[in-house]
Amino acid sequence: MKKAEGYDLIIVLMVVALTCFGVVMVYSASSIMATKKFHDGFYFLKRQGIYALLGFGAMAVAMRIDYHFWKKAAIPILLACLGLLVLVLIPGIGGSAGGSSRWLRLPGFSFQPSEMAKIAFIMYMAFSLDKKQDKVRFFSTGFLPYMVVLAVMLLLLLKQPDLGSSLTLGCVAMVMLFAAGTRLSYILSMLLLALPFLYYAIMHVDYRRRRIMAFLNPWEDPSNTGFQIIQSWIAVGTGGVFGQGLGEGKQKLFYLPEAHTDFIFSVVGEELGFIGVMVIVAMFFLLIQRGIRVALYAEDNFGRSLAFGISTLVGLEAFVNIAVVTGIFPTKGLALPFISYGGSSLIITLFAVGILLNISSRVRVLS
Amino acid sequence: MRDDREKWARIRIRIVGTVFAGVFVLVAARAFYLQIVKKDTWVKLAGRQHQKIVPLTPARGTIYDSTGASLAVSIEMDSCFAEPDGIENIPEVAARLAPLLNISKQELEKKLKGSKNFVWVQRHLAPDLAKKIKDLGIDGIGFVKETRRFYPNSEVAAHVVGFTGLDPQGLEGVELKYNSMMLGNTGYLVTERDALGRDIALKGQVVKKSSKGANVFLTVDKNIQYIAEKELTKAVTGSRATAGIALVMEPQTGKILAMANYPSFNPNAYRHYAPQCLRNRAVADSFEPGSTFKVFLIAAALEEKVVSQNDTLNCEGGSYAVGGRTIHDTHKYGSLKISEVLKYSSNIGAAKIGAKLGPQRLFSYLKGFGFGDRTEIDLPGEVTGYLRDNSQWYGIDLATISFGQGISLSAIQLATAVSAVANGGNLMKPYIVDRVSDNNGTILQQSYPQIRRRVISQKTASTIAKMMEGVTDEGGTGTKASVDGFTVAGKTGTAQKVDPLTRRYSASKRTASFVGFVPVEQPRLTILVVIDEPKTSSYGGVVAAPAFSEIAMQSLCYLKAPPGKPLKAKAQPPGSPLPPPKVQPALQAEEGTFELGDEGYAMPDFRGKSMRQVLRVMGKRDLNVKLIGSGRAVEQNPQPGQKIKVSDQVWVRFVPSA
Repeated sequence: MKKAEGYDLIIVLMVVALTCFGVVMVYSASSIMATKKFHDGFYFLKRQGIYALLGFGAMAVAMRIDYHFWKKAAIPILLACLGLLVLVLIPGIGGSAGGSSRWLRLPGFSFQPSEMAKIAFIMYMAFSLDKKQDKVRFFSTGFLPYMVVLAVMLLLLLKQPDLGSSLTLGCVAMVMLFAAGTRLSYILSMLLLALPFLYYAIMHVDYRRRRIMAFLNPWEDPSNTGFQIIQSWIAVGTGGVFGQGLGEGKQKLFYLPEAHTDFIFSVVGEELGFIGVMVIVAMFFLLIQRGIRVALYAEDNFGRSLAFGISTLVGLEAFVNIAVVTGIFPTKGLALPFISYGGSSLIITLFAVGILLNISSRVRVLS
Repeated sequence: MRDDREKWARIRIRIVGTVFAGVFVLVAARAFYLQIVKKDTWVKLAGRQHQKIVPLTPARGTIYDSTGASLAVSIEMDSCFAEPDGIENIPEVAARLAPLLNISKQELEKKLKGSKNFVWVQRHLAPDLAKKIKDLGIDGIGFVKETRRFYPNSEVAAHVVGFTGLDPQGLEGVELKYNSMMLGNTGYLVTERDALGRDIALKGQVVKKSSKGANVFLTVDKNIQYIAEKELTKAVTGSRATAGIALVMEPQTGKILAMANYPSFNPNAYRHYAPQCLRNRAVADSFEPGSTFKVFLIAAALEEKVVSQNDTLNCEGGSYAVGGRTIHDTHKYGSLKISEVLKYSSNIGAAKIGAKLGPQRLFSYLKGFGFGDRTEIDLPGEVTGYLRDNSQWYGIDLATISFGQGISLSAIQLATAVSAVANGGNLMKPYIVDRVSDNNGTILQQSYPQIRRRVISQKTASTIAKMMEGVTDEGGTGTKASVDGFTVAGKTGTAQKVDPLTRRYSASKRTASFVGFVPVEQPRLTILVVIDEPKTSSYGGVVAAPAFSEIAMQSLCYLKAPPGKPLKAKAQPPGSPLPPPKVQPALQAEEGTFELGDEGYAMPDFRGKSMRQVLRVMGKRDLNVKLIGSGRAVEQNPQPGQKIKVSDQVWVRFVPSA
C-alpha cells in the first residue's frame, strides 16, 4: 500500500528557520556599516525582510504548481535565461558592481540572471534526461548535448565574470549526470579536460591568482592578499564554543569584507560560536538529506532528477560557502543560501525549494 | 531494464547523499579545529590587530522611586587611554603623567611600552584631573566618556535596587531583573586606520556612540521605604535579633511601597559586605509563618461555611490530643468564639477548625491565597516556599498546618495574601516596577494592577478584617500594633524555627512576625514585619507589632491619610515623629513600675489594672506577657514583688468588670 505523504514539513521548517535566521544575521552583520554608509542601521534588514517575504511568496506559489509544468517550460526558460545572460554583458543594460557585470537593472529593482540560470539549467537537464531514458548512456545523446549547453552557459557566466557560479553549475551538472547513469569514465575525462581551462581562468586573471596564492599561504601578506581569509579565521576562531553573543561581533566592524553577504557565516561563527555553527550546519544537512529523500521516492524520473538537482545545488552552495569562510577552499564570491544578504539569490532559492516541496507532496513510500 | 535503471539511479543518489554527509562532517571538524582547538591563536591575533576596537560602556538607565527621586544613576566620567605608537617620547610622557595619576613612573612606562596598540591609562577620572591631563595636550593620549554606576541614596531600598558589577551588568535586584532593558547599546572606539587603509575609521574616532539604556520607575516610595528601614532596624537591634523584613504594600493594587531588609548594605560598596547582607530576604527567604496563618484558615472556613462567625469551640483547657500527638495552647482556654481563636491565637481552636474544613479544602484555599507558588513579583530570586500537596499530609499535619507549622512562605507571599483579605478578597500580583521608559519618554513597559484570582468573597473578607481588628484591640495578642486615630487589623505570629542541623524545631530560635492592614474600613497599607531570632522576647506581638505600629503611623502621616477615629488626648500632631519609647514618669507612678534589682526586674502589682495599662508597663520592659481573658486584672504570675527575668513566663488574668 502506497500513500501520498503531503508536503515535507521538515523542509518547510528548515527553510523558514534558516531564512528568518538569515534576516537576523544580516541585521547584525550590516547595521553599523549601514549606519555609516546610509545613515540607517536597518537599511539591509528592511531589504532582506522584504526579500524574505517575496521569497516565501514565490515558494508558496511554486509549491502549488504541479512540477510537470516545468517539463514543458524547461526549454523556453532556459532560452530566456541565456538571453538574459547575454543582456547582462551589454554595457548600459547590465549594471556592474566591483568590476563585474552581474546585475540586470530594471525600473524599481535589479536582479542577477545567473541565479535564475542555475535553476533553468537544472530544469532543462531533468527534462532532457527523462526524455532520453536509457539513451543517457551513449556519449552522443546522453553526454555531449549537455556539455554543449553547459559550455555556452559557463562561457556567459565567466564573461561576467562569475567563476563561483560557473564552478557550482559545472559540479551540479556532473552530479546530475552521475545520478542519471552516465558512465563515470565520461565524467572523469570531462573533469580532466576542464582542468587546463580552470588553470587558465585562474592564472590569467590577476585577482584570482592572488586569491589562490593567498589561500595557499595567507601569512605571506596578511594585510593584503591574505587579509580576507585571516580576518574570517579570526572572526570564526574568536567565537569559541558559545560565541561573543548575537550582535556582539567585532570583526564585522570593517575587518570582514562583505560581512553581510559572502562572509556572513564568519559573523555567525564569531557571534554564536561553535554551537551556533553546528546548529546551522546541521540544519543545512537535514534539509539536504530530506531533499535527497524526496529525490529517492519521487513519483517519476523527471521529479527525481529535478529534486536531486535542486538539493545538490543548495547543498553545494552551502558547503562551498562555509568551506571558503573556514579556509578549506580559496575565496570566491558565493552566497550562503537563505542567509546571505541578496534578493535574487534568496527569492530564486526559495522558489526552487517550492518546486522541491511540490515534488515531495507526491512522494509515495511503502507504508 | 527500467527497474534496473531506477535501482541504479537510487544507489547513485544515495552515494551523493553520503558524500554530502562526509563534506558536512569535514566542515564541522574544521569549525571545531578553528573555534575550539585553535581558539587562543585567534584571540591573540584579534588583540594584536593593528586597528583596535575598544568597546565603550553605555550609560545604564536611571532607577527612580515613585516620587521621582533617583535611586541609581550613571555618571559620565572621562577615561584616559594611550596609543603608544603615537607617543613620541614614552619616558617623558610617563614622567609628566605619573604624578598626576598618583602612580609610579616605572609602572606607567611599562604599560606604555607593552606590545599593545591601545592601553587604558586610567578609567573614570575625576573631572578636574581629566581637565589637567587634557590641558597638557600630549600626542597619543586620548579621552573617551565612560559611565559609572552610583547610588545617591546609599542604603535606601538597596535590596530592591540591587547593584551592578565592574562592567555595568546588573547582579542583584531590579538592576539584575531589568538588566537587558537598562543596559543600553555598547559603542565602539576605533584607534587606528584599518588595515586596508580605507578611510572609514580614523584614529581615536568613535564609530558607534553608546546609547543610554531605559529608565526604570519603581512603585517604592523613598520616604515610606526609609520609615520601614528605620523602624525595622530599631526593632531588630532592640530585640537583638539576627535579621528582619518589613514590607509595605498597597492592598488594592499589589504595589510595593517599601521593602526593607536587615541587615542591609551600601550598594556603592557592596563588595565589602557579607553575602547575607546582600540577600533580599523579602523574596528570597522562606520561613514558617506560625499564627499569622490562622487568618487564612479561618477565612477558608468562613467561606466554606463550615463555621460561622458566632460559633464557639471547646479549646480543651490548653491541651488536646490529635493525630497521635498532643498540641498545646500557650494559655488555657475553655470555650472560645471563632473571632477569639484569632484574637488569642489558640492553636487548639485552629486545629479544630482545620479538622472541620478538611485537608482538600484547606489546601485549595492556601493555594488560592498563593502559598506554594511564586507571586511573580518582578524581582530576581523569588522562592516558592514549601506547601505539600494535601495527599501528603499525614497524622498531625492538618492540625499543625492549621496554625502555621510545617509549611513555609516568603514575606512577599504573606503580604500579598493578607492584602487579599484587606482588599475584599482578590489576590493581586505584587509588583515593584511601575514602568520602564526610554530616554525620549516613550513607555516600553507599563505595569497595571493585576488580579490573579478571587480567593474569598467580599463578605468573608470583611468578617475576617473585623476579627483581625480584634487582635489589636484590648486583650488581643497584637495590641502594640494599634495606631492612634486609625483602626488596625492584624495578626501576630510566633513560630519555632527548624534547626538546620537537627532538622527539628529549635528550643530557642523563633521567627516573630506581625502582619496587618490599616485602616480596616478602607485599607491604605498592608504592612508585614518579620523579626528573625529575637532574643529579648520571641513574641510577634511584642517584637514585631510595635514596628508595625510605627511604620503604619508614620506612613499614614506622610500619605496625609485622614484619621478614621478620634485621636487620643496625648496624640502627636500628624507629621511629627512619635515620642521615643521612653517610660513617662507620670504613667509610671500611676501604673506601677519595675524596679531593677540584681537579678532582673521586680514584678509589679497589676491587680485591678486594665489590660492596656498592663501592656504599657510590660511592653516598655520588653517583657513578654500573656493576657488571659478581658476586663480588669485579678490574678498574676509571678506574684507582686517577685524578681522576674526577660525569659520568664509572665501572665495576667482578667475578668470583665461588673
